[in-house]
Amino acid sequence: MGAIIDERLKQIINDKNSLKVIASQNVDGELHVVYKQSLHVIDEDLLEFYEIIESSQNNKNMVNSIWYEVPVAINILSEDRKSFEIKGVAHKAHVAGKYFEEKYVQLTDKGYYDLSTVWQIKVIEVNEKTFKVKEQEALEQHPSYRHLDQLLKD
Amino acid sequence: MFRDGTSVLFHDTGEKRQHRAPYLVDNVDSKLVLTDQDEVIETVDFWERADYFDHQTSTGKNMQILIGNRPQRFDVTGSWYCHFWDTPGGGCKYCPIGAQGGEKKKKGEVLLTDPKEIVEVLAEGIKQRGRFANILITTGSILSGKQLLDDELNYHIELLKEIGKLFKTDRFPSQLIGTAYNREQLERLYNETGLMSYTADIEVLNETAFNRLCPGKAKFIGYQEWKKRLKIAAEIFGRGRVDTGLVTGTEIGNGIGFRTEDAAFAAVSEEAEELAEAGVSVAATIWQPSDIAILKNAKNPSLEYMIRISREFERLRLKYNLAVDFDDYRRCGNHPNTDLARLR
Repeated sequence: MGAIIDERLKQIINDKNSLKVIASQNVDGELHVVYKQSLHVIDEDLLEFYEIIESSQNNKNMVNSIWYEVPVAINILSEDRKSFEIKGVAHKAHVAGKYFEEKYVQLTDKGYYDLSTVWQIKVIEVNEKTFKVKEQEALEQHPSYRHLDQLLKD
Repeated sequence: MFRDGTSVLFHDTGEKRQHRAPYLVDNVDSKLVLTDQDEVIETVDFWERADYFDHQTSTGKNMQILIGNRPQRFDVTGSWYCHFWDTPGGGCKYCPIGAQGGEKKKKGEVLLTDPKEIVEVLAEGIKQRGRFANILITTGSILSGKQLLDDELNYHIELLKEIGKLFKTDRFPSQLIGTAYNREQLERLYNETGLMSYTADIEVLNETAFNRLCPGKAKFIGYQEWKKRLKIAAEIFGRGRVDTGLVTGTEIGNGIGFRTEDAAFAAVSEEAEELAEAGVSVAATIWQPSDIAILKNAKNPSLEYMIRISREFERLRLKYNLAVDFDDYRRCGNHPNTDLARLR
């Protein structure tokens, strides 16, 4: 199996101008969506982001993900409007150790007030959701989903 | 440490008392894994050695001897000797630490560590940025003083004042596990130091079991008085900033406690709710009978009971809206009920 995150997607995810959101569920199944601009690629199937606030809902939901293998969904929107949906599951929570401390120093030197967790997410699936791509797919695969007035002769 | 950041302390219970092969940390395919009877359960890591371990104090002592640690917490132990053990049979019957302290006393090693020496180590340790998030202070019970426990309290106040000089804030993330102080002593502890949270371990939530299990605590303070002092502590330190440690499982069987797990569950839950309503949470460790404790041949209850009671304690924490920030998975761990607080 080839890389789940190819070089093009890696560049988009790592681009600070891309928008990055994570949707997660709490232990009761309630949904939560949050921007996580620190999201970046570690490996072809591994993403990472920094959770600054220990008590945040996202942090609790990531625990729910790693304990019970509850998936999280991520969407990346590039500066030129390319969109990718990534499904994954929390894989590791760095809360101590040299790796954590290295990130802690980087972030607090930038002015963040603390660091709770360096979360890593194992990627399960990637799908492109760019509007133009999905539009073309819809036209080809679901020709019935059109209003007739759009098909009238000029 | 597990992948989720949970840290687990393990105890060697000795070959004699193993009912089955123990969990084993092994090297499989160049990865550290936890195995159970040759089945790989999970990848694990050891938590890392702190940088201060390589340093010595100004008097030439190895710093690692003076202060231990968890992954994110300093463990400051003023003394390993508990004076409830001064009276024969006075120590808690499950306790291996007290038994070790007794050996130390015989060797003349009952000394309180100099607060200035402790602060010297803390100051060095905190230089490791991102390593430490909390300071735990504990000392074996010291019964002497103008009032009962005054000498213990005065040592903790002196130590906390010294530690407070390191910080720019009035209070700093810290936990004291002390004996149950009276109102006047608790007010002094809160008002004279920067301590953020307070713990006094009642050990078991049943008066009969407490009297049998902890005869020293029962004789000098008493079960009802211990609970009353915990509630007073919550008034002073605030709801959710006081808890009490339980050695979960000691309430059942072994000639100490309830005959059935159902009876224990009902009674312990009721007592835990009384404390939670007053702002006191519990930190319920899992009892692992130790070969060097008085109850060395005891049998602990079922895993199902441990899970059931841990979930009940978490339900009560949520019902009464109590935080356990100061005693959670990151600062302490090893009590499953507070691990559950990571979810809500």
